[in-house]
Amino acid sequence: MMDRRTFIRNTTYSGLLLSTGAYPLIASDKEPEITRLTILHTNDVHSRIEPFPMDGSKNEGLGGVAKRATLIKKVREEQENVLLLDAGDMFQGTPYFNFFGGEVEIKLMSELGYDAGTIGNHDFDGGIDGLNRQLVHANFPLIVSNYNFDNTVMKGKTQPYKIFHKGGLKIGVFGLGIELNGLVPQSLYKETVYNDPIAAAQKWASYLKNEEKCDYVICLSHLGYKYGPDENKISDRYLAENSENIDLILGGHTHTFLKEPERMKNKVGNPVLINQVGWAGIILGRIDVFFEKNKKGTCITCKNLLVGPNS
Amino acid sequence: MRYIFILLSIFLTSCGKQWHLADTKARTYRIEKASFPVDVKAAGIIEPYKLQLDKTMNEVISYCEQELTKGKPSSNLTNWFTDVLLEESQKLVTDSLDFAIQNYGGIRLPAIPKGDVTVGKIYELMPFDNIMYIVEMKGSHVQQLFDKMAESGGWPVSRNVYFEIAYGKAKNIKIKNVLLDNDKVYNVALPDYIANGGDNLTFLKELESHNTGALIRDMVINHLRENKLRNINIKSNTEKRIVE
Repeated sequence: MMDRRTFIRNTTYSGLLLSTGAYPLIASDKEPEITRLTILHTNDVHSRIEPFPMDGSKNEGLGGVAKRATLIKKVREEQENVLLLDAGDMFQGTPYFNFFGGEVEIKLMSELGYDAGTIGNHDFDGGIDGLNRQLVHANFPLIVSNYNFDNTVMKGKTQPYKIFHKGGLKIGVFGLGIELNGLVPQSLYKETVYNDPIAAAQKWASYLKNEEKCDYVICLSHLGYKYGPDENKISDRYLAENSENIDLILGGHTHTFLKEPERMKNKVGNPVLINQVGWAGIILGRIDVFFEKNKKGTCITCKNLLVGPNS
Repeated sequence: MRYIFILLSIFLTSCGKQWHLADTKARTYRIEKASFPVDVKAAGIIEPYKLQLDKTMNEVISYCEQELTKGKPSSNLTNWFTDVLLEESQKLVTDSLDFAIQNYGGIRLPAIPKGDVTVGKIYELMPFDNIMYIVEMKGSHVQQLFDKMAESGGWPVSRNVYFEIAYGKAKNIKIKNVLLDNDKVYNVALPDYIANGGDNLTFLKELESHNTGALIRDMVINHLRENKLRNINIKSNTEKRIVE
């Protein structure tokens, strides 16, 4: 399943892990086989094609797609199994969107090699027809599992999930969009139907984990990280606690800068991570997930999914 | 071929090994000015669009004397923005307007720094193609609207508005220094997004409204251009219109 080059790289890595003392070293005659999945992610880039202008403002000089492209290429050179994902609101925020309707954003995401994105509320700002027009520039799928586009021009243009095969791993990705009524004028989203994100999550995460036997399930969410107690809205934290079979929620909408992913327990007590990296492409998030291949029930390097900074 | 595939699947699933989630590590990359070189290919995609935009967007149309910062419950940026909306809206209608408002999320920059202000800056401040509406609302509706603002900690409101937030509700509301009259009809300038019930202000949809046809962004740009001819800069006004 694994080519020789990958195998050597991975065994070297696992040897390194064990020798650092960070992992419990259990006597075994063979070092475990470890594969790393590297997930890179953005959210709410909001048409920030160029860096913020150098005008003395707080964000001056930050961001910029052409620099992000270099960084992504560098990570791809270093890592075998990379997934690049976006959690919605690609559009709206600079004149690039007002004048070119999202064409520049989508062309660049295609050039950067995004594997998938989901749809944010502002991706409807040019109308559903405007979004549909830009899809010809996309070489990556828009994944959304709780919007029904059957009575719109977007019918058949999105998908509820996608499975990626990386280094022998099966990674399932599905997507959740925010309630549009009251947030986006109906004249823009037209006959798009919003369905309950929790029900959609339960359905697709279970399908990916239990039927497709995915090793890792990622939810691309534009629901928002969390809301106040008075706001009756579904957030990523609510989703995490009320669903099963999701390993990682990559969120957006609330422009939250999380220093590190939040670790939560899902409905049945299993760990689920939530991450979000602010907005405008100032930050590129990276999560490395290590998988050990072994006989059922045994896992030498498994630790309790502590999340800390990379060394 | 199909046969081989089935054989292969049996081999792969029957080897008795499976992947265990062993560890997760996270980090972030901050994309700063001198952090990473520009990728030539991506920059090449941007270039023709950038050239088209720069001609229009780099025009300097004003000077900001002091940094304006967006904040709740009141701020100098939201005060300035809504005052411009009130002044410019009044030019479009004959009836006297009482005040203007803007939804908090409609202002998309956290600040306007001190210095030259370009057309591009106003696009980033107000990227939405929102149109200015005038809505006639009774005092009781104003109360309802301000309660909604209070619930989220305060929204941009123009001069002529004062209220206090107490337990998530708007109290002691004064319009033009006079206590709110529940039966009086007030003329309010606000974006079509809100007039059409955006941000869950559904009740506004039922009220009498007038479409001025003017794009809010253009109103602000024209305002600044006209003021520039008269050497009027953007000034900071820190008046506390909403008090917690």
